[in-house]
Amino acid sequence: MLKYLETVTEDMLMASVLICLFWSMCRLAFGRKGDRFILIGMIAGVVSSAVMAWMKNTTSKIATNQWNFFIFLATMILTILFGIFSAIFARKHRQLTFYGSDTEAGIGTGGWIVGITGALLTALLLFYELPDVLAYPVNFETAGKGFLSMEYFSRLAGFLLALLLVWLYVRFLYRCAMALDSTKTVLAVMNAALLFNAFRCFGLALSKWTARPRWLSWMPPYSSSRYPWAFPLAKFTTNGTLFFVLVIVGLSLIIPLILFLRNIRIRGEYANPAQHRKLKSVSRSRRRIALAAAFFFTLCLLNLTVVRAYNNREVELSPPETYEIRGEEIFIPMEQVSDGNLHRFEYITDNNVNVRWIIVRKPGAGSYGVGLDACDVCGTAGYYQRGEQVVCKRCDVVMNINTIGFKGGCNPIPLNYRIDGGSIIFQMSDILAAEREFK
Amino acid sequence: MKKILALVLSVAMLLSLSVAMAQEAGFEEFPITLDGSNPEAAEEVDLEVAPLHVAAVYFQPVQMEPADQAGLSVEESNIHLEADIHWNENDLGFGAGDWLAYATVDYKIVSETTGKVAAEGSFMVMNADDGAHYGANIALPESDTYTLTFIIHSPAENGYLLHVDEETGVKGRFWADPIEVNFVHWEYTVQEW
Repeated sequence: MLKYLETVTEDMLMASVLICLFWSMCRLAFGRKGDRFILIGMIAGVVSSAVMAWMKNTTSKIATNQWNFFIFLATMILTILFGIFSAIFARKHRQLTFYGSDTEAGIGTGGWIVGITGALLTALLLFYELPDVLAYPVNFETAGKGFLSMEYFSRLAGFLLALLLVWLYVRFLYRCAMALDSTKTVLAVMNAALLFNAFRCFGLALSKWTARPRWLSWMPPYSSSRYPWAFPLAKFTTNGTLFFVLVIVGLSLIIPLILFLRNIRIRGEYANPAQHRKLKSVSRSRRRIALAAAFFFTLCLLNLTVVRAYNNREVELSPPETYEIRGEEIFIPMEQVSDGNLHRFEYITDNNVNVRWIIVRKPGAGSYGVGLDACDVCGTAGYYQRGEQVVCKRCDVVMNINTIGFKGGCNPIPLNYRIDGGSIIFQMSDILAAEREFK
Repeated sequence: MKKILALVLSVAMLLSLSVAMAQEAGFEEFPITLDGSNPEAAEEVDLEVAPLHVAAVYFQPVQMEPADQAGLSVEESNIHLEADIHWNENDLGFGAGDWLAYATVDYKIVSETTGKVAAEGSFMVMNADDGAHYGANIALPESDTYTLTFIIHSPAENGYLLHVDEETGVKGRFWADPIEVNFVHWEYTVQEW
């Protein structure tokens, strides 16, 4: 649940905030006509994303890397154009108050250019983010338990909660922008956010180029000596998704903040107590909208930081248990390991190498899954117990307990043992032979 | 208004159509060079470690069977890393160009920025449509400059025998210590497959 709560929030928050800013700006500038531009952009984005999601999940026709390269380039160009057009248009008409004007003649050629650019940008932002998000519910990892399972519903809950959280924030952000009624402020915030978005798209496009794919052979070949700035920038942007989300969403918080500050005191003249009460009520209502936006911003922020840190916390391996050594053999009583839980043991060799192994009783059977606390794929990271599952600490793969003891993949490396006289018995020579795996 | 509607819906249709009519995507291998240089400009992409010829490539994570022995799934990994190791001219009886079989090949990916191990383990043996190789799906979620090391253990460690008699024997012997091959300054950025 937590994984999808934070992943979907990160996926959708930045695009949603940018679209909300476009929408606010267009609404303030063009009245209801502005709504239509962005709504049509959203419909175009959702429709094409649904097609892309379907193609990605049912065919092998989509080379995501190539698509994304061109999406980044197009988004970067449109972002810059939208910012420039909006600034020019707003500058030209800065003496006017557009909000509420809903006439056919109201927007002019410049307005059409801004609106169409905004609609295309909205469609592209959704086209990049939505296909994967739309596909999450059909690809939830449920350890083979299918759609009608707690695993599925808990992931679905995280997924839906994230969408709700993002929607609530942008909803209140939009209301703040409308209440603020300042095209200039919204435009300034939007253009600052667009600047970061253009920079991010440039860096992400670079990340494709620096990998030197053949399909980019029409571009100058990347060389770290000739373009020493390119890889650090690509690295920063690919590793810094959270940074860009926080900066862009953080910038958007300026709108609720200004709205709140402007409504701490009553503004405007009043002639009688009734008008005073009305102004107080309007100010109080605006402060509440601003606080609600700040509240949902904080929830999103906590989701991307605290929830993420908790979800990705380092798992501590359980402490090793005791056993008895008799001569060249290690004895572990069966009753010590027959409760179905994961049991860990270790032996420190003369070379000071800590050899670990695990034992778990297989469900519905009298047999035991025995293996080294290491696998061929993930090395000596080890395994831990999560509920009734045994999970690889490094790759988070849930093991099939019934196959523990078999060779291959992420299974624990098999370790010879025998059962005799109520004990599981290991030869010391087998433990010492496993030393190599833990060096 | 109708003009806008027509225009933007046209864009949606164009985007959707271009997606729907896309050709088979196929896949592309990304070579990892010994010194981080451009594969096309590098004089020697692969390493000649007598008696072996070693190359490293990565590409999109792949599905493998049996799935429960295949390590990380496509969703859990970022790349599929391959070690392509073939015999050079040798006195062990292998033909030049033959694939190195029966060896254990470990890998270690170390960040040159932090010095921390980003991934390590042993490759699995598998076949793709271009033949046998050592490989694994690997989670490498951070873009960084890495040193990739292959540690190639001798087939003798897995019990591979050599004839040594006068009539049928070979002159050479397997290497005693594992061969380490380093690919430095690997500038890796996370890709979306």
